Amino acid sequence: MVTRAVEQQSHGGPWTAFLPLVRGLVWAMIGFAVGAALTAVVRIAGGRSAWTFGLSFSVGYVFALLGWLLGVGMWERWGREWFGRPTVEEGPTDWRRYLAFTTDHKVIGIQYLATFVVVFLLAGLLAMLIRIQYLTPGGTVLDNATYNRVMSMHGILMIAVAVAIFVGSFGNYLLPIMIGARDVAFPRLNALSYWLVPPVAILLFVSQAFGGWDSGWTAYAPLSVRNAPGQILFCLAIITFGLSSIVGGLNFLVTIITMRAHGMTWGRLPIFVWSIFATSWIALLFTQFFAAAMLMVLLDRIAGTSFFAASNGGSAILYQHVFWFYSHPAVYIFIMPALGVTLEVLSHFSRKPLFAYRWAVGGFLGILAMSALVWVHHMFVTGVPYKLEAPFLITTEIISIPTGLIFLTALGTIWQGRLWLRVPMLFALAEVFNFLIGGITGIFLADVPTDAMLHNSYWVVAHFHYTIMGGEIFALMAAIYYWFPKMTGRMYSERVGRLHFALMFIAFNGTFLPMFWAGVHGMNRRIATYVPSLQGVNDLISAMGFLLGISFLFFVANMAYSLVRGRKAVANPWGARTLEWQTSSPPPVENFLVPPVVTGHPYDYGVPGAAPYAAFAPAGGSGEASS
Amino acid sequence: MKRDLAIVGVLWLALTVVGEAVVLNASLLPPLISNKGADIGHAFRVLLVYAVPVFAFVVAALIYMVPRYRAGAAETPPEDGPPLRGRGRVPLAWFGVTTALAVALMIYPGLTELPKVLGENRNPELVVDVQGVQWAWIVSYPQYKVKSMNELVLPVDQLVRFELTSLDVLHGFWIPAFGMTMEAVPGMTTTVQYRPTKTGSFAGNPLLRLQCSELCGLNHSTMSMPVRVVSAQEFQDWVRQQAGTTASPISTPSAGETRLTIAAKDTRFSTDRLEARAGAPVSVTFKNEDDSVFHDIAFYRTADAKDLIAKTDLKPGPVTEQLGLPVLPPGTYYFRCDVHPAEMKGELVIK
Repeated sequence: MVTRAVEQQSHGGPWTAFLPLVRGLVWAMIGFAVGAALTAVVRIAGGRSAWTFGLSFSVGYVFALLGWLLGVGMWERWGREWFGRPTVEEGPTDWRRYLAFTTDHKVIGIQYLATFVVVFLLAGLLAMLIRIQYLTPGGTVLDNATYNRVMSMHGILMIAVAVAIFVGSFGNYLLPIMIGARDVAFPRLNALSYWLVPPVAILLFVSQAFGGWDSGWTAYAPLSVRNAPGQILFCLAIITFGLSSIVGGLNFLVTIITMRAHGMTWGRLPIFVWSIFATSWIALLFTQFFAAAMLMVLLDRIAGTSFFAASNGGSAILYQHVFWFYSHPAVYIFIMPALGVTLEVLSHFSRKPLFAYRWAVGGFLGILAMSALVWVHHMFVTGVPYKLEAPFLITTEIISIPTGLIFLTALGTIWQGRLWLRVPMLFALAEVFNFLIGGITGIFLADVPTDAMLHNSYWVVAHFHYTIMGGEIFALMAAIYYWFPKMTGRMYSERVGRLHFALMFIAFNGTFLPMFWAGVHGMNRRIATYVPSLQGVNDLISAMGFLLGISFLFFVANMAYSLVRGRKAVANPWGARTLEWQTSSPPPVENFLVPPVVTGHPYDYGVPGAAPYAAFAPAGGSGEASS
Repeated sequence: MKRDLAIVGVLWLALTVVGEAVVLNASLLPPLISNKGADIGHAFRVLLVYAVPVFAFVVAALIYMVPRYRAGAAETPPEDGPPLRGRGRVPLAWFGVTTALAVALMIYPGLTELPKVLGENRNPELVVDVQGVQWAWIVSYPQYKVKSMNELVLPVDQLVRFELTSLDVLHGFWIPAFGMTMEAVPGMTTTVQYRPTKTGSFAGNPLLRLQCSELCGLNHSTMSMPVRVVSAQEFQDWVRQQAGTTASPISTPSAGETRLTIAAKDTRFSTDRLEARAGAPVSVTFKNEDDSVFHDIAFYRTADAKDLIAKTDLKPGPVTEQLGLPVLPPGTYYFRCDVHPAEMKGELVIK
C-alpha cells in the first residue's frame, strides 16, 4: 500500500503537484459547511436564526482548518495511524514535495522561506502604497477607510514575516544540520506548523471581503470589538498563527536539547543555534497570550462577554496588558535570531573566533529572562497606575545591558580580523549599524519623560523599523546570501548582490532617519492625512522609500537568476567551520552521509593547534577527520 | 594593535566632541510651549548627551575597522585572523560600563524627571473635561459651564488639568506643541496637566492642535481640533461669549408647531434639507439609528457652525430625541452632527 501511493504520486503529470492543495481546500470547504451547519442546528433548536456571521464563521473555520490540514496531507502521513492503518510515509521527491505535507525539515525550511519572502514583498508593496498616499498631505490615492485597511494589512503581514521567517526557514533548514541531527525532534509537528500558515494568509486576505479591519496589527480593544466583521477573521488568523509558533518553538527546544551530535556540548553550540534556543522559549511561553487576547476579542464579539467593555465591567487597558505580555517578548523573537546570524557571519567572514562567545550566550539568555518583564513600557501614557511607571522604566533600561553584550561580541569579532567583504558580511556589518540606531532611539521610548512626548509619534515608527527592518531584515538578507549556496547548490551573483546592498542600505537610512524628525515635529502614527507643514519631510521619505522598494528588484532578480543559472556551489564556499558546511550543497536527505562527532569549537579560526570542529567517523570506527 | 586602539580612541573622542556640541547647542525639538514641554525637552537633550558617545564609539570602531581590516572580496577566504577569544577582562569591563550607563540614565533623566512629567501635585487653576468620541473631541469647562466642539481655548500661564475619557474606543489626547500625550480610555478618567507658556493658535503654529494619537478607526487622522492659547482676559471674553450655547432645550411636541423627523444611519442623515413654515415653533424628532455610535443634531445660524440655535445631547444609538427650536424668521439655517460635520450636514429652510 505504501509503495503504491508513492509511485502514484511520483509518476503523475506536473499537475499532480497541486493535488494536496486542492484536496486541502475542498476538505476545508466541507469542514466549513459542517461547522456552519452544526451552528445552525444548535441555533435553530434555540429558536434563533440559522446564520450569524461571527459565530457561524468561527465554528465553520475551526472545522475548515481541520479539513484543510487533513486534506493537505496530514491524513495520509499521520491521521491514518490513529485508526490503526498504515500511513503513506513519503510523497514526491522532486520539486512537487515543496507543495506537499512533508516531514523533511529542509523542505519545510524552503517552504517557509518562499512563503514569507512572497509575503514580505507583498507587504512591501503595501508600504509603497502608503508612501504614495503621503506624497500630499491630504492623501493621494486612498480614502480614510482604505488607508486604515492597507496600513493594518502591511503591519500584520510584516509582523508575521518578522515572527516566522528566521525560525521557520533558517531554523528549520539549518538548525538540525548545525547540531548534527538527522531531522527535528517531531517532524510531523514541524509539517503541521508550516501548513497552519496558509490558512492565516487566506484569512487575512479573505477578511478584506468582509470590510477588513482598521485597528492595525495591534488590534486594540474596544475598537477591535466594534469595527467591521473582517476583524473576526483577523482574530482567527492570529490564533492559528500562534498555534504554529508554539508548536514550532516546542519542536526546536526539544531538538536542541536532545538531538545534538556526539561531542556537541552546550559550549560548542553555534551562536545561531543559541539564539534560536532563546527565541523558541519565548515562542513557547508567550505566544498563547496573543492568542488569548484575540480569543477574548472574539468572545466579546460573538458570545456577549465583556472583557474589554467598560460599560459592562470590562477594561480597555486589560487588552493591552494581555497583548503586550506576548507582543513585547515577540520583538525578541524577531531580533535574536537576526543577531545570531549576524554574529555567525561576522565570525566566519572576519576569520576570527567569536569574541566573548560565552558573554554573547549570556546576552541571549539575559534578554530571554528579561523579555517578560518590560511590557508596560508600551503603556506608560495609556492610563496605567502611576506606581507601574518607575518599575517598568527600570526593567526596560536593564534589558539594554544584555543587548549591549551582543555589540561587544560583534565589535570584538571584527577587531583585528581579516574582513572578507562578501555580500553576507556587508549586510551583517550594516545590521550592526542599523540596530545601534534602533537600540539607542529605543532608550528614548523606555524613559518615561521622553516617551510621554514620543508615544504614538513617527519616532516610534522610525525606531521599530530600525530594529525590525534595519536589524532583522538586514540580517535576513545576510542569512539568505550566506546560506543560498548551501540551500540551492548554486552561487548568487556577487556583483548584483553588492548593488542590492548599497541601494538598500542608503535607501533604508534615507527612509527611516527622517522619520525621527517627523515624529518630534508633530507627525503621529497611522494617519491617512497629515498637516501640510510636514509635506517636505514626507516627500523625502517617500522618494527614499521608493528607492528602497526598487532595491528589492535587484534582490529578486539575483535570487531568480542564480537559482536557475547560478554557478554550482561547492560544499563549503566560505571555508566556514560550522557543521552545515561540512556536507554537500545542498545536503543529502539524511544531512550527513556519516554522522558527525564534534571535536572542537565552531569559531576557532586562527587558533594554533585547534581541533577541527567535527570528525566524520564511520559508525563504530575511529575514522579520520574530513573537515 | 596599540596604534589601532589609539586611532579608534581619537576618532571616538573627535566624533563625541562634535556630536555633543551639536546636541547641546542645536534646537532639536520644535518650540514646546508648556511647562511639561520644557521638562520633556530637557530629558530629551540629556538622553542625547548619553547617546552621543555610545553611538560615536560603535561608529568610530566600524568606520576605522572596516577599511583597515578589509581583505577584499576574493573567491577564496583570506587567511585567519588572530585568535582573540575575548576571555579576558574586556567583556567584564564592557559589562561594567554598559551597566553603569544604563543605571545612570535610568536614574537621570528617567526617575528624576518622571514625577515632573507625570506627577500631579498642585491645584489646577482650570479644569477641562475632554471626551473623545469617534471622531471628534468634546471639551467642556465645568467651572464656566461651557462646552465646545470647534476649538480648545486655553488661558496662558494657568495650570490646566485635563480630565480625559472616551465615549467609545481609545483615543489619544495629544497637543504636539505641549509635548506630552495621554490616552483617553472608555470607562475611566485619565488626567494630564499643562501650563501653556505662550499664546498662539493653530493658524500660526500647526503643532497647536488637539490631535488624536491613538488609532480609533475610520477618521482617526482628521480627529483634530485647533488649539488657541490666549491671555487671561481674552479667555474670559471667550467664556462669556460661549456661555449659554450649551443649553439644549428639550421639548415635547405640542399643537400648532411644525414637526420634523430626521434620522442618522451609517453616519449619514436621512435628508440634507428640512423645511418648516415661518411663525411657528419647530419640533425635531431625531432618531440615531447607528448602534453605539455617537451623534447629535445641532442647528446653527451660520454655515460655519458658529452661532448655535439648539442641539440635542450627544448619545450613542439607537436612541430617539426631541428637540424644540424657537420661532425663527424666514431664512436658511444649517444643521449638522457635531461629531461628523463632514459627513452629516444639511440646511433648514424656514419659509
